[in-house]
Amino acid sequence: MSHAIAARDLAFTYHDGTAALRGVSFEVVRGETVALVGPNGSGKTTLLLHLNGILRPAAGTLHVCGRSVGPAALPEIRSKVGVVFQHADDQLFMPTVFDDVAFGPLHMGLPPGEVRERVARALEQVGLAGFEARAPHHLSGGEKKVAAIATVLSMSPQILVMDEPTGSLDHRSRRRLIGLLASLPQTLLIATHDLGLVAEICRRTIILDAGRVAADGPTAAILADAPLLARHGLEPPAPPAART
Amino acid sequence: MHHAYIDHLSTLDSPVHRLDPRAKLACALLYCAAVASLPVSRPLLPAWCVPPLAAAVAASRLPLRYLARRCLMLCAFAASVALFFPFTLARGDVAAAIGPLKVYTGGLAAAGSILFRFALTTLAVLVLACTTPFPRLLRAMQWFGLPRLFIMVLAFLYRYLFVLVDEADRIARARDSRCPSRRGRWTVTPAILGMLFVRSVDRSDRIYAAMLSRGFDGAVRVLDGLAFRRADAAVLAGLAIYLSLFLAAFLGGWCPA
Repeated sequence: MSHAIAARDLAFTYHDGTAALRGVSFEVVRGETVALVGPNGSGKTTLLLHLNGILRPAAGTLHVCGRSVGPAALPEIRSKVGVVFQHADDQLFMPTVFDDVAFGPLHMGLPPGEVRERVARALEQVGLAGFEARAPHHLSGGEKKVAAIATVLSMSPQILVMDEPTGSLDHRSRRRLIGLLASLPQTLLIATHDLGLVAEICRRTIILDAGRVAADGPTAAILADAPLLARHGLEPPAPPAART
Repeated sequence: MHHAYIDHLSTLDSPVHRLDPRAKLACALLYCAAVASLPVSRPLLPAWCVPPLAAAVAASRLPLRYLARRCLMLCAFAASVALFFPFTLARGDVAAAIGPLKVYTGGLAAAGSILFRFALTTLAVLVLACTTPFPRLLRAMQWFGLPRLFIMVLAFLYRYLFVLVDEADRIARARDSRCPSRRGRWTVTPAILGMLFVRSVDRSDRIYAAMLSRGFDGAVRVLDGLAFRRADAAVLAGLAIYLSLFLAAFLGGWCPA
């Protein structure tokens, strides 16, 4: 199978009875950069948590890198799918930046020398070389975000899944992050409310609403369809001159 | 918000900061064990243990005022216990009588000894904590065989204490901006604590998901990055020899004070 992600009729209901996904189907090919947009509570985060088996679908099938997401394939899938969570403080759970970035490679069973190499490379890639000994609580919001991305880049994933990567970032940090995301070679699936980010780096956009795929197509066409965006609680991004 | 004030001294540079954390932890444990083993009846005897500690403080270049303030703060706990000794430990002569209460010389000596030894051991631990970044201290504890679960709990406490303090600050600010009266603030405090607990539980779920996403299988693996050098061995051996000679002299009855 050539798809990086192939989801068919995914359904998921939380313990409190909230149906978060109601038959979601989509495919992402390798190397694609796809935005997942939609109003709050539309199921974006729930869907992302299915991609590396944190949540299991109640119905439907999900294949990632050609493997069905199930208990037997989880170690392999988790090394191939890097999930960057919305809150960097949840992602950075170790006492130092080095320990955090080394966490994934160490749990993949890699030897210490390679772990150090990967940590150095990932921190270099996100512009945090020299931050190894820093404690996460001594980082700024923007630094925390890119450090969180480094924690998954060190695992050399084939797919990067991000939940609100630009949330609560100032303009400079957001710009820097967009530059970083645009430079990544991996397949990217980005759940976001930041349609400016979507317009800049995603060729394709999926609108998720009430646990269903409401639209799926080229970003330019979707962002140009103001009535469609309005129906799903979205607003077209401001033209570049008007953006802050 | 930054909490650099909590552990900023551990990132300074000095000969003590550069020592391997295992050597420092071993030194602190040795020192505390030696000081704690001295008898309560001789309050000036711990003075023999001052030179190695004074050398460590001087070499660490830690601000003396900061150390003194912290030490005094912690000694207040020991003082609250030692305060009763002169009245309750009926040893030696009666030095004074305050109404029905008698002050015994043996009790005074015991109070002095406990306070002196508490101050020395507290200062030793403060020097250790202020010259060693907490993650490196955890590595040393792990090397000494402390249970991994205990180390993990400490590591998470260190990591998320700051996040929790930030969260509590934000909630308190929101409360203060809507609740001008002091009495009203106190009445909502239990609700705030409950909210902090609920948010912490939520956060722990998200952290666990983040750990699973990066291959967590029940054991936290870290690269220790520790290196025990000659200087570490020399400091540890020097302290062990000094304390051994002192204790031998004390047991042989050759120690004045």
